[in-house]
Amino acid sequence: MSEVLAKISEMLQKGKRKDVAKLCQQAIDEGLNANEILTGGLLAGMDVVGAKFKANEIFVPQVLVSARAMKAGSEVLKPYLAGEDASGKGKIVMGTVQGDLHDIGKNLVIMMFEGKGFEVIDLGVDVSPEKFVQTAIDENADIIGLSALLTTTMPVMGQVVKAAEEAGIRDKVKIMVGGAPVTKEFAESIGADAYTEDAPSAAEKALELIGA
Amino acid sequence: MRGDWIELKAGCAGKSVMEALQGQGVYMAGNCGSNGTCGKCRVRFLSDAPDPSAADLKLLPSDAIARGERLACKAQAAEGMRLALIAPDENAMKVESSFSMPSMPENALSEKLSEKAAGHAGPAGTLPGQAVAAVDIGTTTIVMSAVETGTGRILGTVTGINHQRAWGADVISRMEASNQGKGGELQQSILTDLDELRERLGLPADVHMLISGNTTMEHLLQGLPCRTLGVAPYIPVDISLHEYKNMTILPGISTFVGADIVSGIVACGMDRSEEICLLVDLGTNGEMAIGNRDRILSASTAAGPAFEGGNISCGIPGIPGAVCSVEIEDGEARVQTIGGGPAAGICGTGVLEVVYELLKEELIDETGLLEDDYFDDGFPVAEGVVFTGKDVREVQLAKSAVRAGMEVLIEAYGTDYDHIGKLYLAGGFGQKIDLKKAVGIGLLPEELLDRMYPVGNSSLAGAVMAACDPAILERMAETARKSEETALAESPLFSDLYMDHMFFPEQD
Repeated sequence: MSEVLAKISEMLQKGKRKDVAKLCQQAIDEGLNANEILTGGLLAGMDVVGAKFKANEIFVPQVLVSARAMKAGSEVLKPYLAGEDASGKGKIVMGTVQGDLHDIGKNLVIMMFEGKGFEVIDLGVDVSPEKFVQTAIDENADIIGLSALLTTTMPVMGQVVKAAEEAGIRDKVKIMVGGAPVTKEFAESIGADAYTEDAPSAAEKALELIGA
Repeated sequence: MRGDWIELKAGCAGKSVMEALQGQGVYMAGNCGSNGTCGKCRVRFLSDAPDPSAADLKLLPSDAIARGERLACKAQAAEGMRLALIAPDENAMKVESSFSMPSMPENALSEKLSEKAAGHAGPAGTLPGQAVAAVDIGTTTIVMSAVETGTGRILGTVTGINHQRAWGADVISRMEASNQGKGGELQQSILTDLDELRERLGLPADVHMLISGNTTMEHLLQGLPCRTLGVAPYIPVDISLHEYKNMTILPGISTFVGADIVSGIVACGMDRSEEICLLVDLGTNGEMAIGNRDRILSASTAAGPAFEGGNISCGIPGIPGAVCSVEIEDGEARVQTIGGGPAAGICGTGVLEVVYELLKEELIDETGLLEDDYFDDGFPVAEGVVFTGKDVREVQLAKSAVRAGMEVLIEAYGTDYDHIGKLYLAGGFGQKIDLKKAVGIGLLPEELLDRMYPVGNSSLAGAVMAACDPAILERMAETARKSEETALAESPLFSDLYMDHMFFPEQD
């Protein structure tokens, strides 16, 4: 692998936003393919970040600065990725369910999804079942990701599954659920496709679900 | 393991073991609301243990499962099953019933009260006719004082567990239990607890009670629905100052800033003070208020139960055997436990102390990473008690939520540390902790270290004051009415500060 890609990955792990942007530009100037830089530099770096977070070696703020560095790098690559399907992996609609305003966990999951090359449409917090489903239809999304921190808002996840069924898109879209009070049994009981314990596993599961 | 073998009686089919135990009057805390996620409701079957549930397999060590241990909330009950409780006996929990308000001229009354409360505790004998009960209903514990009207003398104070804990440790799981149709049982539970405390004080059945509690506790007491409490925009049903049965229900500010905080504000005299003061309750809901006689702003922050020993792998409430003080030297921990016996787990103050000591000894770095030697199995605090890397993370989340909440509240009020006259710390945890250590881990700001005042149970203090002076009720109603609430979840500044404060401060 090229030296500059290894350097991009390293700087991204350290959360050095400016260095990552600069190195991405340097890689382009050296004639590397943008997609290669994305995969071999940025996404490779986020893979390490995800693994370390999962192993409890690093914590939320470190993931956040790395994700910001990745964003800075992606911005540089964006014009060069035009024409190619930058989001080759698939599209995910993501938000916290209606009544729940806690978005830290959701934001972490989005970082991990993006770190695996997914395109994520972030609907933010307090999102109604209708909005999840309508956005999934409009954007032709592969996955709907639902987050809840409160046991009192968890039941809304079941309503989203129902709404997707009623809209006739249940066979086209996978539904993933997560959040502190959510369990695998709960996910099964409402007919969701997947539950994972943490953000890095969610990203791996998403890849598995769409068969990428 | 504690106590004798318990045999499940007829009629428990279709219930979980926890429900069956509750049905036959055996109390057991259901911390996570029987969600199968906290792993604290362990029981041990004498024989014929049911197949382990998914929660058992995930949360219990395999040798425990082999011994017949299961989580009571996920095990199916059957008549004749014989089992023993492993979860610690919470009835021995140390409950904060004292309060002490710093002497300040506008607060002469509460000062007088704290002197009288000094010799409290213990059931009173026969009480003179004109007594009322001042009550603090906490999510975990309840404190009741008999107050002589007119003189304001505290005749006796008793404490107990809030047995609603069987339906969950925090307010959210209680709301959810109520949503699932258990509202009647929850109401009965708290009424029974109040009755029992009242009898211990020797007060008549129809004695008047002044109730100070968080909004959820007050709703459940009155049998009000909690459906709108647990979902945004979190609208309470009734938080006004009003009468219910033989009780005066003290007023609250919002769903997450309740009468207990209003009581605290008035008891500390913030509503009469010229200087700006800050009141912070270092509990699960992290309620806080800032202000003076002109304006009061409040907020709550999802601190979680780490400082109550919740979500901590060897965490237990403040009961005998709980590690409450820790000193680490050369990798060796020296601990003190409540009651002085062998360590059974670690309580809130112990959690704070162990993190402080690990930082001081550089066994965790400022990002919260635990030293290699302890990374896999955790740091050994005492025989059978470890503190894991994940536990450190729980503390980081909790302390950061409190600290970021305080700073956003101060910013929203339009002031800064320099202009804050006093920081009142409400609750038992605030009274027991070493403030320097709390500053050392970044929970509390160093800038205010010289003006922090642990005031103890200020919710009870407010109820006691209201019991002997109707003017206090007026002040509470006015405080509740004029206080505004700032929503931290919607603040971008909060998100930023929450990340910033998740790391630990540099150690000197």
